[in-house]
Amino acid sequence: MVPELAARAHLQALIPTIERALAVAGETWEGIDGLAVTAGPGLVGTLLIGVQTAQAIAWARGLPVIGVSHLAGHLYAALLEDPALRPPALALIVSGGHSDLIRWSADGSIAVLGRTIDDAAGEAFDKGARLLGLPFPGGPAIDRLAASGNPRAVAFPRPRAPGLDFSFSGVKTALLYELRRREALSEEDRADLAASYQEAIVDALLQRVEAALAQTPVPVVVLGGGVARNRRLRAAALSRLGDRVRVVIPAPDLCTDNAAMIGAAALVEWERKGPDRAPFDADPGLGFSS
Amino acid sequence: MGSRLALDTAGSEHAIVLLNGSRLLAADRWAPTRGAGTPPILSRIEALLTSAGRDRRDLEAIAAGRGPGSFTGLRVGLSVASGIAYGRDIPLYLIESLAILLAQASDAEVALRDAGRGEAYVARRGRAPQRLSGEALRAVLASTTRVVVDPPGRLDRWTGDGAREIPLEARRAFPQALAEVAIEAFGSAKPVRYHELEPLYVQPAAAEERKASR
Ligand SMILES: [Zn+2]
Repeated sequence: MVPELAARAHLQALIPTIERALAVAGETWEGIDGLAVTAGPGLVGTLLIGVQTAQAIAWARGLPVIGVSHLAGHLYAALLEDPALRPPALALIVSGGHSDLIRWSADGSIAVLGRTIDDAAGEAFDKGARLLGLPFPGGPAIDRLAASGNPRAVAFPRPRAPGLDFSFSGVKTALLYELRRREALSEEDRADLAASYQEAIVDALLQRVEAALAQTPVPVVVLGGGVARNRRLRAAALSRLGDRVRVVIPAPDLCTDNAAMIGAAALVEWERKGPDRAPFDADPGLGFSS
Repeated sequence: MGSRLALDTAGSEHAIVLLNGSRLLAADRWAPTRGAGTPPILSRIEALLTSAGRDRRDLEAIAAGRGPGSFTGLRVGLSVASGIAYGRDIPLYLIESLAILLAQASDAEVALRDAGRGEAYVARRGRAPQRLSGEALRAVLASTTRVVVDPPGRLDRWTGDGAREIPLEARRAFPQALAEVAIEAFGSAKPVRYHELEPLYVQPAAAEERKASR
C-alpha cells in the first residue's frame, strides 16, 4: 500500500461513501443523532482525513462526535452478532496487522494479555501463501486450498513465545524448509501443506486462548479481525472451546475492516464516557482504549 | 445574514477569513506547529464566527486552498472545508494557494513555495504552477525581479540573491490576500464535487516531461 495514494483516494471517497451509506439505509441526516470515527491506530494521513471530516460534519450539523479505536471496533463487532453480549470476555483479535489476545473486563476496561513478537497471524498466512505460490491475500487462498488437504500430513512446529504472546516466524521458516526438501509437488501435496500450515497457526492461536482461560476463567470468548474469517479457525474455536464458554464470532463481513464495527464501538464508548467534547486528534499509535 | 468562509492551510502561515459579499468581517492567522498534532482549526472557525456575531447557520459558501504545499496542512484544510460544506449543504470552492501569495503584492511576478528536497513550487501570473529545482529554478528567477517567497527569506538560500524577494513588510497581510482570491472564486469559479476533491499535487518538471512524451 502507498500511504500517499491511500490518503488521496480517502479524501475523494469519504463524503460520497457517506452519502451512499445513507441512501442504502434509506436514512437522511435529520435522522442522525451523532457521528463516530476511527481515531487510530493506522496511517496518519488517512486517519487525519477521517477525524477532521467527521468533526467538521458534526460541527456543521450541531451533532456530537466520538473518536474510537479501530482495534476496539474489532472486539465490539461481536455486539453486532450478539447484542446481549457483556463482559467479562476474552477476545482474540487477529488480522494482517495485529494478533492480540485481550481481556474485556466487567468494568468495560480492556487489557492486552498477549501479542505477537514477530509476524501477525494474517502476515503468516500471506507469507505462507506466497511460498506455496498462492495469490494475495494469502488467508482466503490457504483457506480454500486447505479444505481438500490433510491437516496432519506435516507436523509443523507450534510457534513458541513466552507467556501468552504469539510468534509465527518459526512456522513460516519450517514451511520454507519443507518446500526446499521436496522436489515436485502434486496438487494433493500442496493442499496437504496448506492444511498443515493453517492447522499450526490455528492451533497456536487457540492454545493461547485456552491458556488464558485456564488462568482466569470467563464465560465468553470473542473472535475478531480479518483472520477470524478463516473457516478452520472458526470451526476449531467452536469445537475446542464451545463446551466451556460461549464463543461469539461475527459474520465474516464484520470480521474484516468495516464501519459498522466503529459504530458498535461508539455505542459502547458513548455509554462509558459520552461524546468527545474538545476537538480531538488522529492517533496513529492508539491502542484498544480511546 | 449571508456569510462566506475561506481558508488556506498550505504554507508557513495558515489563515481563515469570514466575508460578507466583498467585505472582510473577521480574520485569523497562525503558524502551523510541527509535530504538535493538528491545529484546532474548527475551534478557530467557531471563534471567528462568534467574533463577527454570526454562527454556522449563516454560512452560504466556503473556499479552501488546494495547494500546492504541505500535504498534512492540505489534508486538514480540505477535510474541514468539505465536512462543513457537506454538513451545511453549501457549495465548496477550491482556490490555488500560490495565487494567494501572488495577491500579497501587486507587483509580484512569481510566487515560490518551498517544496522540500531543494525543490520549489513556482507560480507565474497566468500560468499553471510547476515544481522546479536547480538550473530550471534559477532560469525562472533570472528573468524576474519581484518574487513572493514562502517561507519568507528563503530566496537567498536558493539563489544567493535574496534582493529579488519582496520583503514581508512590503507584502499585504496573508488573510487579506486570501480574501481577495476567495472573493474572485466565489464570483466566477464552479463549486467542486466531493468525488473530485483533491489537493494540487504538482509533479516535478522532469516527471511531467516524461508523462508528456509517453
Ligand atoms: Zn482491522
